[in-house]
Amino acid sequence: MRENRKKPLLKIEKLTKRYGKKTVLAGIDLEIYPGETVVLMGPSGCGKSTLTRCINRLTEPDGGKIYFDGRLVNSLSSFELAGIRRKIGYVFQQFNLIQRLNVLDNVILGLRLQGLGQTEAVARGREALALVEMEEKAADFPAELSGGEQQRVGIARALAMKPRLMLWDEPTASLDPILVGEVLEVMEKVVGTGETTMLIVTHEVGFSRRAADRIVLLADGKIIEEGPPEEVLEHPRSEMGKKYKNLLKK
Amino acid sequence: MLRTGRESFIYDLLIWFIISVTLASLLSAGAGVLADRYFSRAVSGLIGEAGEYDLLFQVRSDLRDVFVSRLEEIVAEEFPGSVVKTGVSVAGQSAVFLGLAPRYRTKEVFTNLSSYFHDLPGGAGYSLMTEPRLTLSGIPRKAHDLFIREAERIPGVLFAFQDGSRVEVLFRKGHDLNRSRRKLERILENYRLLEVAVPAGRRADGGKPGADLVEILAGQGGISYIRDVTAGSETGDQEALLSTMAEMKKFLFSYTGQVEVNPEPGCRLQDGDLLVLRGKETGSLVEGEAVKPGNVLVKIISHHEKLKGVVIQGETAWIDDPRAHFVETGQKVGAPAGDVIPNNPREQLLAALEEAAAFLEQVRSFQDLSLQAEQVLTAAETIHAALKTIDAVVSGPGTLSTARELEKMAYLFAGIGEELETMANTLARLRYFETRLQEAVAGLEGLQLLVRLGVIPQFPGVYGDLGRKVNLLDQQIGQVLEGLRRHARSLDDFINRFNPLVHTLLSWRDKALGISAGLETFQGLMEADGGELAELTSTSLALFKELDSSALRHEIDAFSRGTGGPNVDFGIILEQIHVVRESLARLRDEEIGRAFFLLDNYVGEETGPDEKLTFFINAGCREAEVRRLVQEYFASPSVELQFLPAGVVRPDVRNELTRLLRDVKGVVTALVALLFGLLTLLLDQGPVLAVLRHTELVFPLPAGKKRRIQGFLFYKLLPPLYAVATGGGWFWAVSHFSGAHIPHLATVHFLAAGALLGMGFFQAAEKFHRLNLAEITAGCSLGLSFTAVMREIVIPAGRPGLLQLLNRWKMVMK
Repeated sequence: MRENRKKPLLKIEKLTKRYGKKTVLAGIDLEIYPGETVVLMGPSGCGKSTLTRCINRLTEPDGGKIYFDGRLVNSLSSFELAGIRRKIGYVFQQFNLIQRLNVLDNVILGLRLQGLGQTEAVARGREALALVEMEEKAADFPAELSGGEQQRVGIARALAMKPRLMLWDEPTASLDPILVGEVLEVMEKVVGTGETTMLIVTHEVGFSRRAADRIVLLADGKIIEEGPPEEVLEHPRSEMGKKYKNLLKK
Repeated sequence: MLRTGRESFIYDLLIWFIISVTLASLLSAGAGVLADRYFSRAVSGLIGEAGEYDLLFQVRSDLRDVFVSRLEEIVAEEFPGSVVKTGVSVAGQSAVFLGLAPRYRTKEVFTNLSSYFHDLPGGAGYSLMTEPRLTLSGIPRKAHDLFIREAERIPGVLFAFQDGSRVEVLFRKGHDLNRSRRKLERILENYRLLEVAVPAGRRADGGKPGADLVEILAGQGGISYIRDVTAGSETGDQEALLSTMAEMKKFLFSYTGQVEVNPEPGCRLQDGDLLVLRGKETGSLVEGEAVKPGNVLVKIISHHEKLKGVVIQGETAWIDDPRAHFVETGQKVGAPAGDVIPNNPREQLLAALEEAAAFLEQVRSFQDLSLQAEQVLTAAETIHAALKTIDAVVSGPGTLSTARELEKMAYLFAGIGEELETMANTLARLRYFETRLQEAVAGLEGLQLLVRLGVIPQFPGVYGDLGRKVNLLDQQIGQVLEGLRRHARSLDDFINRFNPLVHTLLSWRDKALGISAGLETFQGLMEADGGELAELTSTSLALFKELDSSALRHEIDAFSRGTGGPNVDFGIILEQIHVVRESLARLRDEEIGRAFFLLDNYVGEETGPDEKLTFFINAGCREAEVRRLVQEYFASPSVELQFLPAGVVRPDVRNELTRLLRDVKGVVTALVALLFGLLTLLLDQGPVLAVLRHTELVFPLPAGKKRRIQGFLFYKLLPPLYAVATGGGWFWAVSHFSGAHIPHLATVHFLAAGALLGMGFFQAAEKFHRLNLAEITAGCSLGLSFTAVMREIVIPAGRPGLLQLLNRWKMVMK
């Protein structure tokens, strides 16, 4: 699984972010290695989503450094950043689909604007849609889809770009329990391919136990515990870990 | 960061700017041209093409056919070949045009236009329409000849003529107009009007100020040319009104309740001060207390350099306590000001009217004066006859022997005594009448003065029935006065003639009474006193001879015809006095006082028309020196001088309309441009401005030392700057290229208005365009550039507009 333990794909050093007087990230240090699936867990408002948004600078961090594939993301110009962003897929909690485009066009938007030809883009788009089992709805518009379907289109859109790193920002948080299952299935399937490095923000303990190589627990903007799922969820050292352990038992 | 190449969104915006400005300019200008054409056509329909017609008649629509028929008759007779055309009818008035045949466009015809068209039905007037033409207005009539001569020297001028209060200058060709206008303006600039306003009462008595000042000012103070152009009787309505009001003010002042004020020692009264007196309120005035309705308020005015108080609350008659106090702010009683002496001319006039009425009642009774004089004369003749008989007896040879003769003598003595008594009484009554007659004459003279004092007799028509009656009263009083003076003289003469006779007769009577007391001893008495009685009888008869009774009777006839004859109806005069007295009695002091100050506020120091002199002088005089000379002449520093332009060159109707239409066109263009501008900002710039409120998302800046400055520039400064520049630039460019024009606004105002609108739209951009930030975030996360985000996500999600239309050519995901 881990391609090269000595050279992380993503390296975060002392990352800080404040919103007004509130410190959301208080010096995060994190390394994610190629092929690794890292699950980020923690209570609401602990900074999980902010951390993922800072990685591709959808939110500008106040301090610290972010390296992607050895490049310091913080200092990139908007043009250079656009290139990096194309290598980092992002799955949003609210799906963030373009309403005027149909499912296929949503998926191939990034590809087409990257310069890929229509045919090749469509092929890759359909491939991604097949992976999330949405190829039959390629011509539908987002407004015609259920929440779970929209999220699967969102996953396909990220996957179609063949990113080296995928950031999942609580992809099931906006879904009702029935739809959560189908999205988790897709997620496990994607993770199962082992082709992409993943940083997944989720509260799904079972999914984390099954899919994660490493679980990182975040509280009050700091990493309080990290390690393999069996260690963090079964022999937790922190109170937070113990709560998740109890949750897992239930 | 921000890319500006051909494939950038900035380039898209530039293209949009050029195309939208071009389109908006063309459409706005097109709307302006359409409006211009529409109104120009309407104007041509109304007043014809340039130079087509010479005169425009405004005639009542119901008289139009009769009018046109008569006009055509005049035209056929006087101006054959000329054209009459009926124009539109608006609000009951119809326009009728007359285009004179070219051979009639002569100075002679234009100067005498009024003589040709004076008897048109409906009394319709005409307006001159001949073109090309310029009008000089504001020039005094007495200087018209000078300007007509000067104007006709200008090349291109056909001729100039006087048209009412204006000088009209006709040109051969239209293109001479602008050049000639400048020349006419230069001529006007060579002259000035000097107006001298002389305050009332400062007019030099008996002198001719106009002529005097011309003589004084000629050659002085830089004046090389001067002409007295004071308007004579040609006063305008405004002047007449002012004059009437000034007279009314004087009239009212004569009847205001007034007080003379003796100020407290050290107290200084000023024009406009308010004083309060106790009036009919009980108790003395107390400082600090509010002025009450029963108090008398007087306002101090300066009159003939003396301070007087005019009653503006209450009545002069209420003043029984002469102590006056100042009125302080808030209508409070202030410090003592002094004592007042009331003076009420209105009451005095009322008293005079009462007296006059009483006099006239007496004068009425003078109508039987002739009868009484007749009685005197008859008595005198009876006495004369009796005396003749007595004289014959007394001086005769015979004696009174018979009882019958004695009885006859006694009867004659008794008759003479009675007649003499009647005559003496009547003469005494005539003397009394004579005295009363003199008093009546004096009273009526006073009444006539008072009646003539006011404005009513001068403008009787203005005051309706009262004015007419006062005027009639004045005339009747004049007639009565004349008659009374004559009769007083006659009566005096009549009485004087009888006086010696009456004295002698009274002595005779005293003697005769003794005789008649004892008839039995008449013979003895005659013997004893007959000599003295005979002498008195002879003297009396001599006086009777001097008294020419037939001449006196003739005088009495004349007297009878003159006094209270059919020419004078005392009843009417008394009735008129009663009306005037009633009218005056209805006015209260405070009403007159307030009316006076109301007029005073309006008329102020205005001078009447006859108190304003106007001179036509050359420009460039030394104003201060001229002012000094004029003020010296009137010996008053309050004489006001104004140096005014000699006149103005007015454009003709068509030029005015053309200018107006140009304005209309500019305004219509500006309004259409404004409409397009608002649509542009709303439809096209709405999404752009909304995105610029989230520049942090679409323009991520690299970390580093410059980030703070770049952040300020990109996130704080650039977005509003773009909004202001786009709004201002767009409006300026469109107004410039379309020819949009709003009177009194320069192009820079369009720039400012556009900038303000741009800023306003920027502030409210997200209200006009709901931005889908989730879509933009998704686009950014896919590595889309700012241009791609705008082209693929933001602009397609906006409202349909030019930018969206242009954007379709650039979109990848159509």
